[in-house]
Amino acid sequence: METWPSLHRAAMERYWDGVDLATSTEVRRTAAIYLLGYVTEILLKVAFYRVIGFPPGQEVDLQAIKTHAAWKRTNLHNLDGLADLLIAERSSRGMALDPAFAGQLKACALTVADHWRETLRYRYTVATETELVEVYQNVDWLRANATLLWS
Amino acid sequence: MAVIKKPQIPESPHYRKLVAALAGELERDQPDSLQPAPRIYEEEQRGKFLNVTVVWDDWKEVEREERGRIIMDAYEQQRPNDVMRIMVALGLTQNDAIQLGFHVEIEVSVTKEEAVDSYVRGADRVLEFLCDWLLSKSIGVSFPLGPGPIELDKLPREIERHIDELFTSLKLTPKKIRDGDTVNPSCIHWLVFADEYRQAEIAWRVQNPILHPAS
Repeated sequence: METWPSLHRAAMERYWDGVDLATSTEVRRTAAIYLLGYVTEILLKVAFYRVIGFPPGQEVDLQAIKTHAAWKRTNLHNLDGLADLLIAERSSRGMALDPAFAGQLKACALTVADHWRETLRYRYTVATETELVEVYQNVDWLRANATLLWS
Repeated sequence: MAVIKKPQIPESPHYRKLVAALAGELERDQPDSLQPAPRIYEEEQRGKFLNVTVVWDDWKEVEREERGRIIMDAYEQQRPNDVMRIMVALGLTQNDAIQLGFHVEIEVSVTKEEAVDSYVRGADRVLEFLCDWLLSKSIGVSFPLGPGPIELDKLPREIERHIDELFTSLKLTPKKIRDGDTVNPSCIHWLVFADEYRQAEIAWRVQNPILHPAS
């Protein structure tokens, strides 16, 4: 059963897995990006469930996002869509994010999405150092500011 | 435990100047297409909220968070009634905007010599510019085509053919001006649009056209 606390723990696990791969002596940059992208996705989903008031022990229905009025995409892995959903949900509940912070959040999601798709696993590709740095910096920003997403 | 006080991060030296410039741009009804002005995109959201994205190279050296505050301060000065509607204030450079897949218009003028050269030599030079843009993701091209009005349907067909081929090879969709329209030649611009799927669309656009009925 997935709850938002378990999702958060999973995100942190994937984060450190990603850091291990990013700092590996072998070239594991694509794998690092693959995991770090999921960290972004999970942290955004955790924040969303917290904002809409899910108790810590309640199972989260990941598909339920699709039925939410503010959800405008089809793919639940769409990071920009998840950022938009969170920003819109907070605004509609009268707990809007600071617009400048929301802008940073959107840029963060878009930057990671520029290098990451869940379908990356099918691609035979070697990510560049620059791509890895961009992804890492943005995922790290999100991790550092995760509390602000829902509080 | 001792209280650790952290001072507020100081504004960048250009903060006020950028706020004033952006506020001035908000005041202006029509963008001045000849100036490298900020492009301000307002997307209305559910509940009458606004997402504001400003694409501007003048804040290249400014942190992203500060760009957002500059946007908010500029709106506070010029459009105070809209401040509470703004949900996202995102400041990007042109390169950021293209990289992040925003729909963005880009115009860069070339020198008169380059423009004449592109006209005289036919399509190669034009294609070179377009391809350079696509490769570098950094520029569009604007070029005057000569003295006095010209008729678009008399543009060298070779140029159009090459452009059509380029569109086809890149799976782009061209937009065309009606044949027979005549325009002020200094007002013909190439616009390059990058959509969220990062496919570029290259289009003609005529600014301030002097239109005459096609005979």
